[in-house]
Amino acid sequence: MPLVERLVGGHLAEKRGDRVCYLDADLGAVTYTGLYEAIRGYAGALRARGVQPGTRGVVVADDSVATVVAVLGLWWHGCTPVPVSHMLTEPEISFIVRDCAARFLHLDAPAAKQLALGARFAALPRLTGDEVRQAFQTGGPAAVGGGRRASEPASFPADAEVLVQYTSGSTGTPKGVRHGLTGIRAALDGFGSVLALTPEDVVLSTAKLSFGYGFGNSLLLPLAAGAGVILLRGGVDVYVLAAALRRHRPSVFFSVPRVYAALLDWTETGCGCDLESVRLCVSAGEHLPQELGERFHTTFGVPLLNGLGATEVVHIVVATRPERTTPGSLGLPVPGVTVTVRDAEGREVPDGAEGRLHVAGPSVMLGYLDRPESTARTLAECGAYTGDIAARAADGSIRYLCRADDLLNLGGFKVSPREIETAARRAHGVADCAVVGSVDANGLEQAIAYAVPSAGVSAEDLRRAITQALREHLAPFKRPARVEVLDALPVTSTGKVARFTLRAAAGRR
Amino acid sequence: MSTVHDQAISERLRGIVASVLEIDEDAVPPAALFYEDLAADSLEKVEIAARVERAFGVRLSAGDAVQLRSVNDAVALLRRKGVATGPAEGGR
Repeated sequence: MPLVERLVGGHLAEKRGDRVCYLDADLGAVTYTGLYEAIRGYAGALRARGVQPGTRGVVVADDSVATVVAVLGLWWHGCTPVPVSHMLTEPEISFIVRDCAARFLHLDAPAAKQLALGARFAALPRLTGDEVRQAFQTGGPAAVGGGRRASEPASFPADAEVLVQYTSGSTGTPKGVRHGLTGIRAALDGFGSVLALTPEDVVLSTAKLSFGYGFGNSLLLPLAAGAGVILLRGGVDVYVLAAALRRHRPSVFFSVPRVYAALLDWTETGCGCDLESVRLCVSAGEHLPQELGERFHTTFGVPLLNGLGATEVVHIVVATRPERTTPGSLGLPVPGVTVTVRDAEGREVPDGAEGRLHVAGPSVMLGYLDRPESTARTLAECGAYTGDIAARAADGSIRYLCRADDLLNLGGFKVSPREIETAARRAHGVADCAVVGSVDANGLEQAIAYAVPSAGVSAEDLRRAITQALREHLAPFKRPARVEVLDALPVTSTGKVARFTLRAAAGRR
Repeated sequence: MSTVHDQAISERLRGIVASVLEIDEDAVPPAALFYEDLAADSLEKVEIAARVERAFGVRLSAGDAVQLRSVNDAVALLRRKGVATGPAEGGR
């Protein structure tokens, strides 16, 4: 069955077409029938623009129904959607458009960025989020794409690439993760069966569609179940969340430990945050410290499912079960997934021993786009290394320990310290700079930038210049928590920056 | 309805935003959206709201703070909260 039929069309056949699938900031409630019509119109517009099936289309957008229509419209037409965050900088987005050899652009970004991207890729056919919204508002969903509805949705072969999601590489250059149709289906059958959403559920996710976790939360899993989704546009802070929780009363809430910590801190200052409607909270993206999980349970009394996933395996592959959410544990592999812990040579280590987390099963990616060496490092022993260090207990449950690589995990976003250093060095007056990971009061990883001023530059001027450069050249979620100025960076006996000394110093504060 | 009083409030708010984001006040046009135009993150937004509460002696609900999207929005919000009809405009 084509993907769009499994996710949308099937609900029409089951007489659920009039149920709401999305609540959108601009379009209000959109039904499954409405979504189906809009996707069909979008696919018709792709055909009319001469977009060839089998090519890739980049979708630069915040969360909205227009974004979902673009992704599903590309699938209908037989193309591979490549969702990209509108918060990335224009050079980053341009890199991705070129890297994946995109033949189509869906643009729904802040005005200046959208204008620049439109000019840079003037030769590519495109549609905008505004065009989709306008059609919806003036002529209803059937007017999307100018009313040139496509006929049947395309069928992908089982081994075809159907989705490319970009993730940070160790040097900061993003890598495209290629997913096959089999992998997407496996995610629906795997974590989807643990979550067991029903058409009565309404989900809310703070992770956006342009990231693997959010794509599963707000598109794959709820649509497969015929559930409803609340889409949040713009920045997501505690106020936006508290207002959305109160107003839309979701039954399942997906977020990251960093946001759960912010909700707890805010609630403990006496501001009410209402999770009354929520039957299940899901935490993934970064490590959930045991204390934070326990504090959440005490304050809100809602089960908090703790999961571990990776872009390379589509979504969550290890998770505690909704009925048994043991704080501190990651629980068990989801159905269809085999998880082992392995040493540097790829051999399994005994239960209880630390090692590299290895995931095998049909949700493992096809590979990185045009990165054979990275692919060979990650895809080995008939599965994928997630880049996490973990241990397995005798009962099969998994305990997370740390990252295996240099990447920082900032609220679920993997960020290379080198990428932050490069952006910081663009400020005037930087003689030296190093970025290290540290742990905040909630036990969550944060980045600290240490910098040394050039001669004649004051510490305060340098700190301010770096802060400004980071704001200009890095997406908000990649920015370090603090910038600190030192007279010199500590070095090892071989003359390299002593990052461990900096990490220790960062931890003492 | 822009009054001298609104103008003063707007200047003060621009100062708060500039200070939280560590940028010049000139880089905070009153209509600039904190997230989209000024690239604020969620922690900075929360800090802006907290400083607005302290500076103007008001309590913002979550719904109020959601509407705090730019300096202009903040002026309108404070006016609704009664801040703009202070002693400076006595008699009106």
